[in-house]
Amino acid sequence: MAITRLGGANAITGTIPQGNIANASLGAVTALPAAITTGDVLQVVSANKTNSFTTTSTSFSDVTGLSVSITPSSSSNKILILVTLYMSAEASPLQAKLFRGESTELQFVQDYAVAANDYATGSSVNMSILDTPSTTSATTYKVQIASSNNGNNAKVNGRWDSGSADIGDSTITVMEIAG
Amino acid sequence: MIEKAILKINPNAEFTINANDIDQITWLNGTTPIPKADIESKMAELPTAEEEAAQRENEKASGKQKLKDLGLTDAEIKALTGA
Repeated sequence: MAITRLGGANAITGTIPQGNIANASLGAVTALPAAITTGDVLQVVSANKTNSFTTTSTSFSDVTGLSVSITPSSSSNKILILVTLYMSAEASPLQAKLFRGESTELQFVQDYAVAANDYATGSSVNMSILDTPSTTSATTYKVQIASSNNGNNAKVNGRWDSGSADIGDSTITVMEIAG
Repeated sequence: MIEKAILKINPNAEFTINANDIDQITWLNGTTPIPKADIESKMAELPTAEEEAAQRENEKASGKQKLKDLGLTDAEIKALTGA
C-alpha cells in the first residue's frame, strides 16, 4: 500500500546515506545554520628549531627541523601558516621560501635588512599565508633557504660566522581553520 | 667553524650543515664531498671566534692610532669610523 500521509513531525528518523545526497541539491544552500560556525581553529601543529642550519648554495634547501604535517578534517577548511625565521647571511639579501609539499611554492621572501659582511647582524624573516589545500590528506609545509652568492654562508638561528645558534629559535606553526 | 674549514679547502663548495654537526653535511650540486678528517684538520688550523674577535679589536685600535698620528682629532675619527 502506498504511503499517502506522514503523521507528525517525527514520523521519519534516521540517517540519510551519503550516496543519496546530491551535490546539486546541496549547491542550492545559500547559508549555513547558525550552529555551524566558520573561522574556528580546529587544530594546531608547530615545530621549533633550536639548533643552526647553514647553506652556501644559491639553490634552495630544506631547513632541517622546520617542517610540519597536518591532516585537514575537511577539504573546505583552510590552513594558516606562520613562520618566524631567525637568519643571518654573509651576503644580502636573506632568502627564504615556504612550500606546501615538495613543489607548491606559497611564499618567497627576500630581506635586504642585513648589510653584507656585517658579521654581527641577524634578522627575523616572517612569512604568513592562508592556504587552501583542498584535501583531507596529510599535508606537509616546509621552509627552505638559500645563499645569495655561492660560497657565502646563509644561516638559520645563528650569525653566519658563528657555529652556535645565538640569534633565536625559528618556528613554523600551522592552524586548521574551519571553512 | 665547520663551514669556514670547508670553504678554505674548496671556496666553491655548495653544502648544508645541520646543527653545526660534521656528520650532518649534505653536499649539493655536484660538490665533491670532502673527507671528515680533512675538515677536522683544517678546523684545527683556523683561529677561534675569541681569537678573531681579539684580532678585530687590535686592528681597530691600531687603525685609530694611525689616524691620530696623521693629526686627526678623536671627534674627526669618530665621525669617520663611528667609533
